[in-house]
Amino acid sequence: MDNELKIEVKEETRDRFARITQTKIGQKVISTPNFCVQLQNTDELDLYLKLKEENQSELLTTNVVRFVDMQKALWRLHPKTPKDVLMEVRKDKYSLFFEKQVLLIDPSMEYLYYMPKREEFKKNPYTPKSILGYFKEIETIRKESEYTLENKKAYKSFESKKDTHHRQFWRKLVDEKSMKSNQDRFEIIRAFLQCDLDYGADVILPPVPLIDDEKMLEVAIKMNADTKELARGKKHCATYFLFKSSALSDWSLLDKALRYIGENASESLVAVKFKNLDLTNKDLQTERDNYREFMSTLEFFSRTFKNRACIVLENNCQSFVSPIAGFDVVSSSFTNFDMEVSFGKHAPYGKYLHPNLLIHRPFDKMTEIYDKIGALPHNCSYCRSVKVKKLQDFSANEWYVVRRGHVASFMDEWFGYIKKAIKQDKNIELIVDRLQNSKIQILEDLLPNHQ
Amino acid sequence: MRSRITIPKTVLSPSEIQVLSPQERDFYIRNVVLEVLRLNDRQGITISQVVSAINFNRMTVGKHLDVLVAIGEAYKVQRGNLFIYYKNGKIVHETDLQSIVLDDKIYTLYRLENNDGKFIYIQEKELDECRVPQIKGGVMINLKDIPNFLSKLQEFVQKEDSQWIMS
Repeated sequence: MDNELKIEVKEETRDRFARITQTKIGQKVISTPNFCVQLQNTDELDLYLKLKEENQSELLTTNVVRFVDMQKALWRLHPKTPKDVLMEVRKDKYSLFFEKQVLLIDPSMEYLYYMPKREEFKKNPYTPKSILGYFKEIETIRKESEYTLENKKAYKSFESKKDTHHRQFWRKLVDEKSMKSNQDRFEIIRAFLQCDLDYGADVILPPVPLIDDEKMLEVAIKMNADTKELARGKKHCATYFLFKSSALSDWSLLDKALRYIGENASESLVAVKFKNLDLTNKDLQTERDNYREFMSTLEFFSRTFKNRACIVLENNCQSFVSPIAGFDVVSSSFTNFDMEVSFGKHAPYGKYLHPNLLIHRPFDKMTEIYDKIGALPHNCSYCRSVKVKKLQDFSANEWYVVRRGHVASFMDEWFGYIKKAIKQDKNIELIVDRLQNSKIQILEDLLPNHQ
Repeated sequence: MRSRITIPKTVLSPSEIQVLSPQERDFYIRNVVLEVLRLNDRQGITISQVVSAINFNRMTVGKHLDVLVAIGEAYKVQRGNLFIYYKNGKIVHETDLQSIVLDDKIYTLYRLENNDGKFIYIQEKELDECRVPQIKGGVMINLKDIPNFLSKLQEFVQKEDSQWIMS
């Protein structure tokens, strides 16, 4: 009698580690494998809405917004915006859109460690006081260390102090014996929970710290458990682990997280994020092996226990492989590049996801390709709409739209291809073939039967 | 002597519950008690069992169990001088559930079965400010009484209707 609080997974068919499901989250049903687009600002939301009007794909039915991007991306959904007087239900196109789309809000607690988003935390009215206090303390440490970009010694000293302070903050927060810690912990959980409820998130993602050792893992477990308790009777709460990419080299740490998931996260959505992970680096063989083992264990849980589904956030280039190796929902940014920084000559012109090479090519390179073949190398409506003589004539704003629309269309196509490979052909090797002909063939290592 | 009951894997400790607001605390305890009922739906639970297993206050547990009985989420059976609380039936098939949405109210109809027989359970839910359905009340009618109930209801509505029209 509490269907709103559960997820129900109906597995339709599978081919080894890949499966097709109809997953019910509250009142919404999504088809998996599903590509979950991370939206970072209102332009992206508008663009995504337009894209969904044209392409009603059932594989693009989930979205994630980071807490740090909420002010920019979801301001139109703010609970204080005017509602319909009679029904108390908002009828604007954004609210109606999210009536059908599954929405997750990622607390993005990694930015308590990585500093660039602290202004976004300060601006967000949901940010709890204890987190604002934490940022003030970090600011004091920064001032005291007097570091500049030139003074590497001072910078290192600040980094080390910041790291220690970050760990202390979280460890103190989960000290059950201290009344102050209990208050602070519940204040943080309550703030994120309220934000999720106000904005209509379909699943609660607990505010967990960036994990790089066992103590931080224990903190994450406690935050997961307490958030579940506070969300009891309100919304479905996922089990969420946010790892530093370096954590992938430590199997005992991953194993402990898996044990917890295996023992505690029954009938649950399991969300995982490896921050700034790029496994195409040849030197990361151990990390690739561990990622494969991690995924296949999660897949084992989903296969063995009913009503379990897994989602991976900010999956970057791994998102081409993750859906056939254990994850039901795979998320990445609208550009499929989760570490995007563009400098240089064409700074406003971001990179383009090459549909065959499966890597991002800089704008300069794309102009060369465009000159050769007279078109962009993908058949989606966005790429076909580019009809200029020279790609350089294209405005930065138009390029912004094209490369995002192209990524969503391409990922829809890719996930559709995976679905077809599982359902009709029972042959996920078709995907392996595509990988072998790309520049990321090294990610074949992530597939369980390609060790 | 009744056997031990199954409790949720994690429950907040008394010191943690203490820092919750009164409203939050009430909501939390009621949902934990509901979960305990769900986990022990066959054997049922007594107030003493919950108190000794979870360490909640006796009065609080009793109050929440009675609220759950009042809204139809649970029912109470007297055995000698002992009251045993049961979760209201288990839905065996998905077709045993149907929701009627009327404005901001949801009426969910369940076909339930428990030790006392077969029942139709009508649960009233209301969307709260966050659009999350919250149970407001419920009524359970024995399946064998349904034809009689429906005819009486129809009679009542029609009688009322004619009076309303005349006025």
